Amino acid sequence: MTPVIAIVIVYFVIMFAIGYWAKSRMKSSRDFLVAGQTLGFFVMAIGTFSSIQSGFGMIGHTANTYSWGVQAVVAAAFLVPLAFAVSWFLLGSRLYRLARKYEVYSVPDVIRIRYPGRRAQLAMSVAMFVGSVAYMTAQVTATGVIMSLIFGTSVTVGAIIGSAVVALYTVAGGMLAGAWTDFLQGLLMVVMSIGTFFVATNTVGGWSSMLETIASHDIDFLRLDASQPLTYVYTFIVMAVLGTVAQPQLIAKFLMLRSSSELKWGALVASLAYGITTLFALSVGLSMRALSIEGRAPELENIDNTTTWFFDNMVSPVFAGFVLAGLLAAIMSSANSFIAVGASSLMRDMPSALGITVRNDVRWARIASVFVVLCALVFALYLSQVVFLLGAIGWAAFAAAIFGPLVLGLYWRRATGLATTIAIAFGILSNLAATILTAQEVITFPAYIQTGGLITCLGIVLFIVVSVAVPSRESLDRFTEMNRLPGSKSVV
Amino acid sequence: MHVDRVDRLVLLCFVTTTVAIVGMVFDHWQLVYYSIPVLTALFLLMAALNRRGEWSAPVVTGVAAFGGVMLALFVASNIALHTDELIGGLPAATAVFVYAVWPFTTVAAPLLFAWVYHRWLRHDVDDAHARSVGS
Repeated sequence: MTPVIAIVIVYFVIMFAIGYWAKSRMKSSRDFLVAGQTLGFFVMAIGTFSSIQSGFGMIGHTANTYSWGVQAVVAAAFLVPLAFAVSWFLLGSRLYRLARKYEVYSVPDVIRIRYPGRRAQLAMSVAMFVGSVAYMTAQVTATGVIMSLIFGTSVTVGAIIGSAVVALYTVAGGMLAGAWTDFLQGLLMVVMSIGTFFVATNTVGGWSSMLETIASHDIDFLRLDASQPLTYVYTFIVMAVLGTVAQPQLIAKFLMLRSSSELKWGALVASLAYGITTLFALSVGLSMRALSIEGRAPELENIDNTTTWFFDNMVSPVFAGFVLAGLLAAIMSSANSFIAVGASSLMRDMPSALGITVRNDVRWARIASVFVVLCALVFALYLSQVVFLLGAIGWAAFAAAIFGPLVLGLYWRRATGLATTIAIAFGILSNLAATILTAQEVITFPAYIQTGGLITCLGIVLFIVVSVAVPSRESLDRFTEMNRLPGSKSVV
Repeated sequence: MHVDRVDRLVLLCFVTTTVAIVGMVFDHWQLVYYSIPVLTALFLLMAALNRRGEWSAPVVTGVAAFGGVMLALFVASNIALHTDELIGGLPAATAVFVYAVWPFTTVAAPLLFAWVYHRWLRHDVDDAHARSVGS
């Protein structure tokens, strides 16, 4: 058994142990979906950052940094820690209050309480389910690649084994297991990123030497306007910041806190942890560029191989195994959150919107979790056209669908259910349309247009316009009721 | 219906986002770029309202100071964009982002939240917690 396989097997055993422990404490859907509202700030904050920092964040940003230069991490990662602080500001105390006053376990639950009628809740539930399967599909594909590297299997077998592992501990222990595995996975990612930063920069003589090598060859590679137009880069920042605040796996974590005192330091922990893991993409991407300039690494035709080439060729097998376990952690910590979000929308939110009462909720939550994983596996392995379409329903679609209705809706009394339904439909359909039409070459966007950021902003503007143009007395009354203290007649 | 502080803040968010959209569509990167610190400050100001829709003067001052520093760093990076000067091995505009904007927003923004929460917002959730325990 190689050191890499041994490290990963130990990692899997720990995940299973947490799943088994959580299963023994599982009594209700509150335990399954919001970890029984028992989380302290440290576990919650590390779990929040690790569910946002996905495989794309580690491997994709590294590839883009190698290809585009420093502007790739400026665009996609540098201001995400700020987004965590903005999330805590905008959502922390308001969602905590809501979770104490009502039975709120998910984003559609918040929509149900905030807006009258069932249309907005149903639209958000469907969006959550489709979006969760979409995210899971991406994580299944990424798991297959990493598992095939570790165990020497095909990508298909790797994807099945990896998905089975994350499904087992999530189905057994729900978000109680998910939160604690996210916590350990997040810690592993932080330690791995710090180690990788020093190892990667030292392969080219340290941080300063690495930058000198790149600058002497092509100083433009280090500029903010290196490869992509500045409008594209800054629109990407807008999408990264607004999108982070509006991701359901982040929002759900605020519903899991055990007390109000746990809110204070969570933003700092999550921001620092995410900032540290950005060192991974920054150091590996730039050191691979310096290695290429020095002739010690080939110019990669497929930039997606940047991370794997570096760890295959430049570090010891033991460290490579440690890093692969860290990358699996990044993928799995996002995957289990989306299993829980998808399961919640399927067994709780959609039936509730349709007026159906679900009994044996833990059993149905488990069945729904398995269904989400199976959908993702089938799509990832056998239906490439569906994967292509699902890829469009990711970050930006959630941002356009959730930011206005949920984030602004918590503060703004004029926000309406109709505007919510329209914003959700716009977020999903416009991302799908942009993806299909550009792929079919029906339309071609200029290089400076970043469609995700543009659609996110259009979704917010549309939400505000519809809310003002078609006011709703019922939505206003819901806002008033939502902000009324329990047992109080006055609105405070 | 009277216009309150949240209405005004939402209007400002609407205007800023619309300006950003114009920049995104017509390739005016400055419009997108400066919308980032402006929207950040607007969101923090909105979040600093308690459940009665009130602000605390020190809290607003703190948020404004944070927004001002962030905007100043963005201006500095913009001014440095076309210079050939290197700072810490990076072109000056990139260096402002790597060595100033990134660490400042990563550390100062969550510290600001901790302070605002402790000084102001926690009184809202303390109420909610006490009521839920008591009920």
